[in-house]
Amino acid sequence: MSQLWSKIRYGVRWNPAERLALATRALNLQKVKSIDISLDPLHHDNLSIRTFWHSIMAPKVRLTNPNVRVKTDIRNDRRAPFFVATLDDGQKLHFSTENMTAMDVIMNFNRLTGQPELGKAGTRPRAKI
Amino acid sequence: MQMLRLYASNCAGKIKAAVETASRLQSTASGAAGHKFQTKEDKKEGTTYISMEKVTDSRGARKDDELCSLCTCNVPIKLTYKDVLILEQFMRDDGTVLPRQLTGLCKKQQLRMERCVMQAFWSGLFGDKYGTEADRAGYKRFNRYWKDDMSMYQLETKQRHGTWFYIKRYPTKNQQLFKNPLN
Ligand SMILES: [Zn+2]
Repeated sequence: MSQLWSKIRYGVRWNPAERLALATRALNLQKVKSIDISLDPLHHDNLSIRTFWHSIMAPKVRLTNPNVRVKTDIRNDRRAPFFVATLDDGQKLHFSTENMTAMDVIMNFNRLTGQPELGKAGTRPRAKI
Repeated sequence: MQMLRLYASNCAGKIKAAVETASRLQSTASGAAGHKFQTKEDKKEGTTYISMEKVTDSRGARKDDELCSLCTCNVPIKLTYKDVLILEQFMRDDGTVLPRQLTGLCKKQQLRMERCVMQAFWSGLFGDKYGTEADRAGYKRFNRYWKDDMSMYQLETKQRHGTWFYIKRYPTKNQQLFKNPLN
């Protein structure tokens, strides 16, 4: 109806795909030293960690810190997937991503690495390389 | 929803229950038979553990004869945009409306409440309590008042009585303006 209407109704319609897209925009690996992903490809609930893996491997995200070491361990034990992110100050983040959606994973990751949870919407200027 | 469908297919027969409870879910992730999940954060020796823990819904699915809080006699009159204190209970701190899963209203009342909130913004009843970010550009910068919540949608033209009557009151065709040609 109008801008006013859609602004007021913003939270009424829960749009996970939109929030996932905004959360991936806010990804920034500046404070991260390494990420160790460990997953069983035959586990039933590993979509979220695979989405997370995919989005940290995006060129724009990798350019924020090229020194991040991403190591992956593919298991065969039907256990829940998890990843451990080591930060610059020695802190570790252990995410067990079972029952999480990719949006939850990335938003929590953003929050704990000191970034805004959701990025800005709209067109972005091209990154200068 | 897709995820829910996936789970529901795992436990056939509980599909209906899952859908019923899913309509009331607040958490982002939903599992089989309407389990809700909530992020849990533990800090141990320099490591932060983030995982999902199961939460049980204390209320359960709504029954058919259960009325929402605006349909019962708690609010005997119809909600209007002037009931700002009632409307504020269904809003966040940033001026947006809460979803129906959280307000617990029925569909009809929820939509009415949303319309009333918009009208209250437009009529300036909230002032700048929720900031001036609400889009009041152009013709919306003027405060506006309504009869009821549905009158936003009524495309009625305003009648000006008498205009036509006064224009066509006298025969205007082939009339001499002045009786006296010398004038
Ligand atoms: Zn109702």
